[in-house]
Amino acid sequence: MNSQQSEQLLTAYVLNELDEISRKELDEALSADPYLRERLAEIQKTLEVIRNASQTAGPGLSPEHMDVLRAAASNTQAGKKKWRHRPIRVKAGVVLVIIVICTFVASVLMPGLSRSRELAKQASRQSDLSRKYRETLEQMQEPPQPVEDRRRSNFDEVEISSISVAKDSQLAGRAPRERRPGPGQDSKVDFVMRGRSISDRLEKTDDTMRSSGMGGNAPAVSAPAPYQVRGYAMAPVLGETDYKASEPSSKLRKLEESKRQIDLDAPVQEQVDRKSTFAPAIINPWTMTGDDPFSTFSSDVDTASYNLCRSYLRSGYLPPANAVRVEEFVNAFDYNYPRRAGGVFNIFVQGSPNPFDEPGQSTCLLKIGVQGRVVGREGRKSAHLVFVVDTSGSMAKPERLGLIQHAITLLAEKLDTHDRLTLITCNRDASLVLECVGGANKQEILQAVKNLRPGGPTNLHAGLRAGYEMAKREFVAGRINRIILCTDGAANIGQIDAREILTSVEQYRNMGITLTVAGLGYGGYNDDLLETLAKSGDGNYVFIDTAEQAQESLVDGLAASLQTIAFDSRIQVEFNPSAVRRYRLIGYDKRQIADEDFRKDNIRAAHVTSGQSATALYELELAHREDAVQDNLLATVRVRYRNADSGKMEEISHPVTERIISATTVSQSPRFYLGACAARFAEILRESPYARKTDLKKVKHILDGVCRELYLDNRARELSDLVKGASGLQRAPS
Amino acid sequence: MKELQMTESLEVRNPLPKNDAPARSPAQTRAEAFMGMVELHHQPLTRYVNRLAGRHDQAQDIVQECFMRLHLHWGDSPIPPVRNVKAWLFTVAHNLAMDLIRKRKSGLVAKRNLAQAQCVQTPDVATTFEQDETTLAAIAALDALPDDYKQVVHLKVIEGMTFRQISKITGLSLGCINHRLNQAIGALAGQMKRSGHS
Repeated sequence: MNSQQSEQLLTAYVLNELDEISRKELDEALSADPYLRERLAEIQKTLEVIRNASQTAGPGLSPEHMDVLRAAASNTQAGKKKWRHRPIRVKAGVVLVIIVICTFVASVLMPGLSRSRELAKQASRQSDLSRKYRETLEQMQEPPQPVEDRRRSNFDEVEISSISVAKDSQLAGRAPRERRPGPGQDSKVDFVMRGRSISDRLEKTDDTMRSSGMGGNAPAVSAPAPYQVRGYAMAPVLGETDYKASEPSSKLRKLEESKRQIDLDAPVQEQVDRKSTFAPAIINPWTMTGDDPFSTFSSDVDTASYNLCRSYLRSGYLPPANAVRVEEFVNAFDYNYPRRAGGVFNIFVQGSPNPFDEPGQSTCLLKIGVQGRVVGREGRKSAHLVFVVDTSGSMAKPERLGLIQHAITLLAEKLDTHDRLTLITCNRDASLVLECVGGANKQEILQAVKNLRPGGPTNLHAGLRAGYEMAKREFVAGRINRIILCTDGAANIGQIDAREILTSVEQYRNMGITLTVAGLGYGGYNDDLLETLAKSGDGNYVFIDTAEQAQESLVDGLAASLQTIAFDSRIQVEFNPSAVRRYRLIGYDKRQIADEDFRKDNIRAAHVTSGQSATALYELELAHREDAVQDNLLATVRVRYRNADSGKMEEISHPVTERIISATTVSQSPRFYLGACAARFAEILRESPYARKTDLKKVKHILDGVCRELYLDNRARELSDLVKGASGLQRAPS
Repeated sequence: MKELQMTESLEVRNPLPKNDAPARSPAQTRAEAFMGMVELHHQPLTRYVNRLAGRHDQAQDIVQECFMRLHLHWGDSPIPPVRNVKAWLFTVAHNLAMDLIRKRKSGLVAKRNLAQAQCVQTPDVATTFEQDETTLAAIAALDALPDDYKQVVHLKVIEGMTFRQISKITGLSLGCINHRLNQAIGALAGQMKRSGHS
């Protein structure tokens, strides 16, 4: 090594720019060479003098310069920046956009103007015609046709179109996944028109007609009550839908017919629970196997509905019917599926006569369980978790912000050095509390969480926007990049904000940033929006009301969810028409997928994590045949998913023979009956017509047997207590 | 021949260096976060640009322009638009200072400022702070260095940046940075000796 190289090595050594190996080697050389040590000391001394000379910070910006910056920073209008600072391409782009908009507006207005002129001309022609007609008739001495008759006929047409629009929007509001736009398609968000009865529409149409000069004093037309299943609240949520319904499938037509059969004349229940908001309920009807042997749905299951309803019941109220999602009740319990080695999923099927059959009925229940594999700790990826915590005034209760603080504190213990945590609070504005802090900095995390204070209104939009910006900035491919939104509702959110949020959530999901939603409290709770957010964000939706639930959902659940095993997981069951006369899927009403989309790779479905399982229950009416053989094929269960490790689509199938339907007792299959009771209880709470004649006592009686067998299962006992306590309760007040 | 092995900068994996992260307690809004960045970085930035440009008033204008550009890039949330704000600011400041120096060398700077531009040491430093002769000699020696050497010394020794950060700001390679530092330190040590300060 020549002297120049040794000098450079010494400089790098003093400035801590050498790697460990080189540093050790130089240490050895220094210990052996006094000249090197002398040179090192000189370099150190020179640097020390330079550093000492520059230790004083020196003057910075003058107060005038600081004032300019302060004024710029306090300019709160978003996006307001000096025009002259914009790059030229931005300025040119803005000018071009303005020109396009003006051209578009002109092209819309001009026909509109000419149309209104035409309407005015038409109106005056009509009045002329009317006058001439009357005069002619008088001359002919024939009784005139009242003008009101023509207006009534116009009104009839409007009435019919209003009904059909209302029907479409009701159907659109329960649009299954088949109607979700795919990549590259229009990504408008669907919001159901709620809270507007037919009479509202007619009044508006009447006003429109009157103002255009075509109508007159239209006769009062009593609007038919919009047909709904009794008990469903049409609470106003987020405004009109601009969704264009495609040709409804046969299943959706059956849904409509089922509603007609149920209760056409039921009055609209308008006053139920306007404060909390839930999507209108929908119930899968019976399907004739000959007409449609396929049943396809996404296997994602959240747990928010069960927890939310449990809160209501414990508070002494029946939950709103719309808050009950049957599949979440069924999946709230552990069915102890064996975790077999090999393969991403395993399918387990069990069947038995339906314990809730009415006299004269003969159906059976088929329970399908899909169990995901368990990934060990070594398979866990590093994660960047961005917590967006609502710290508005309504979160001041211990069971709200306190629970979140407790959960994040516990979760911090499970993070390791490769994980990152960001904490953003939102009340009036979003505030950054912790920025991408390493999992090893537990004290810093705990201190920041402890210092959270509630107050002010809720601005979820700002919080989510900040969270996504942070996640995007710190995005690392191959790492789990997740936003966790913790809120007690979205009462302050407007329609436009909600649309923007959902559009952003979907866009970021495509980037690989997922969203988990943790809901707390009720009263002002927007279950529909939060569930939609989680569904759009490819994450899960949990409701937290106790410390145990916070531990289970936010701590254990989140930690487990960091290990994804499959994406876009969907289930299809193909029934054999010669063995099954008709079938009914219990739950999963909002998770339907078009049968033809089962093998389409671009269909978004469930995101499955380590150890997660999904359970579905079918009610079957078997076909009676003389030559029935137990080994006859009853159905084929297929699961299709994208393997998280390989990224490839895979499919497994499991044939189910008639042998699977065998009479069992509670003591022989307690978990089967546990699932059946959970489903039936949920259907009762939901006022499903298929559970109308089931008494809670019967459910309780079966559950008592289950609890005797599963005496260690606290959740089963909890369900039994809920069923027992539900008798005699009133619905939650509005 | 032993090759110089630089340490791999862990900038990509590590969180922001502690001296770059502003205090985050209590939680900050966008305006607070931005002014926090201004408070934290305006002095070292002004110092650096002053060292390059040689004029305090021009240095302040350049630093203000740096922060205005940061403000323009900043979104509506309190999240800074870049991960390492300090490095970003220094990069912008460096480029603006280099532009000013180039304009000055090509005679574009107004003649009435030329006399002041020739003055290396700003009067503010001498009048505001008491400094001993050794310190003054060190400052003078540093200011006498060519610009290319002055900037790497300032960024490494005074601002404490890593070689990799300096490389991003100045566009120089790691080896070049180390070489210039080594040369600069040797020149500084020689200058100090000649002025009678060991």
